[in-house]
Amino acid sequence: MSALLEVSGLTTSFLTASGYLPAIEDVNFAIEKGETLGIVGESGCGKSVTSLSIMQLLSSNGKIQKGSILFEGKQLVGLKDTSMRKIRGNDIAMIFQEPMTSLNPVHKIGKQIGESLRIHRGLNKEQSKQKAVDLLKLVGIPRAEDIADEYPHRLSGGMRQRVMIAIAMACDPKLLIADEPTTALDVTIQAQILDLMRKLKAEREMSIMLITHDLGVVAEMCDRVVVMYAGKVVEQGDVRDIFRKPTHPYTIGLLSSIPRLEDRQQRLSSIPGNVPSIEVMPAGCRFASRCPHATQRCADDEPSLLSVTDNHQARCWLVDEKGVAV
Amino acid sequence: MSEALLQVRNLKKHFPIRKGVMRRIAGQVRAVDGVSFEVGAGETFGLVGESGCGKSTAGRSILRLIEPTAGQILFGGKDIRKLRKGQMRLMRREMQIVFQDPYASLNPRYTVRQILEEPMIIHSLFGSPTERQKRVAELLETVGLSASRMDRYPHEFSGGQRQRIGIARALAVDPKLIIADEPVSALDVSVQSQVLNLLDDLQKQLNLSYVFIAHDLSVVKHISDRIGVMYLGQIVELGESDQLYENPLHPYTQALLSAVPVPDPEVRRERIILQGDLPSPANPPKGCYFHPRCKDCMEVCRTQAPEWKEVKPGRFVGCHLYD
Repeated sequence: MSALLEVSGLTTSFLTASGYLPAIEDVNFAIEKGETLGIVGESGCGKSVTSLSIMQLLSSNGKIQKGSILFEGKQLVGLKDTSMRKIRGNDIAMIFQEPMTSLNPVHKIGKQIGESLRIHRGLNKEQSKQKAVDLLKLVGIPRAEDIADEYPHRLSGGMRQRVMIAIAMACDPKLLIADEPTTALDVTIQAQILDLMRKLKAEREMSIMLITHDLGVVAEMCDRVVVMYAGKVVEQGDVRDIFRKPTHPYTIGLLSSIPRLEDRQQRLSSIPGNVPSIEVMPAGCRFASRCPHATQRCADDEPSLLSVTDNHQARCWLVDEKGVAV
Repeated sequence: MSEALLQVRNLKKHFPIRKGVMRRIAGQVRAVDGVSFEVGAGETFGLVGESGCGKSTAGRSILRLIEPTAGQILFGGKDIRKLRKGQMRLMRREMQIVFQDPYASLNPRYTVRQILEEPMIIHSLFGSPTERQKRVAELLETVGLSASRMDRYPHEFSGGQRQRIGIARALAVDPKLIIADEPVSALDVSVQSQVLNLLDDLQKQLNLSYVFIAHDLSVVKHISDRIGVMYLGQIVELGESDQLYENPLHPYTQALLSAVPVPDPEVRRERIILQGDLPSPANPPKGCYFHPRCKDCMEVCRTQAPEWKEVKPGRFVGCHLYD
């Protein structure tokens, strides 16, 4: 089966005072139909830049320098603006982290949901309004008719995120990119939103690319996981493999630094140090300075993504030394 | 527990809502509405709840950074609400605060040395500049930063390092109690665990008491000895942290715990999904504040506020189910 979305060798750079610097480098992954792929990593690791590159929503100082993004076999890199506009909001939709700032405060909710229907489906005002009400019902908003005539400031954070999901669902997208969709929400509201996303995905056979820093959310929602660190994919695999047999020392460190509800640890393990800055990336492995297993080879030479098993890769020399097939 | 260092009794903070040209008072936002708890020496008390539940207002009211509307705050047996401004300032030597946002809580135009010296100067500690400098170096080492960086500005440090500076500033005057208001929620997990471990170490070394305010239940559970769960300005349940997590009594605590995603793909926990949103504290529901969202709501809950009672030694809950 060919993948719905295939990203290969993606490098996106931003113009800074010291020239173009890559925020992400050589990123590869694929999303199958009906699959939820999680992209995890800490702030600045490039997970949002990856999603903005796919949507071609990079700010004017950013550009895709290398690589390809195939969506249903169609190349998105270098696509004309007008053709990209036909895909964006139609085949690929996106929801953002901040439900407070991603809605337009001066337009009524019904109008904002109907916008993509008028553009992509050619519905008129009446029809799009009616469909907007249906969508609000779909995402579980009570009094949908009234809410469609309200402005965003009248709604709570959780309700606004539901409206964002309604907008994204309007044209029945094949791929939904959700960039930290629940980070700004409280846990009980987060549970409602995740539940809604799961339900919609099952009903519509949609694929989801879920970007998050919360490993709990990943464990709950995703089929496969891509772990990013300092602009590179450091590990990817099946969600069970990532949690049961994490291989990259960064993934291992990340998993053991989360406090867990079930058991009382006396002390959390932590990863010493900080993420290297984009201007002074080390020559070798980017995690070497914080890695408990780092050797001279790690400092000199950067490993490529090595296979741990068929569906599980890690960017670490340890995989190589363990004698696992590369 | 030995004699409590901090006792908070029936603390209330109501903010007036003003309307119209005459700015008449049209209502009250009951941000904190009758909160009581105690913190012993060397103990960590966790206050947990969702946004808008009043946990931060409670924390600030205890230090009188926000003047409480009613209630008693006893620190070492003394009611600090009765203190005059000057006396209160002296009292703050004993009680300090660490804020959530390490980017906003440090003055960007001060060097780290100036930031850490300021509280010492205010409280006339370590008279001479050389002594103060020695103390600054010592503080930086204590929180795991190199003393050689004391003449740098906050923007030259990462988020986790800035939070360490915030902690060092709180420690500068040798307090007995630190109120930590969401100290790790702006940090990434790998850095968050560094800061949590630091707080733990400092508590052991200096016998500090913490009031740890956070919305992340796993973090609060990790660091706290006892926990109070807040909902709409009130503590609905209070108890030893392990017991509270193993056997939550209040339906809100149960829902809150079940909503936390488990970082394990093979564990599926039964989830109680709460309906609706937090009601406005300006217009709380009648009876039990939680009843419109409660799965176990009974007739009595709609009309009568539940009593706050001790169901087991050290275990308190405010819910009609345990009448």
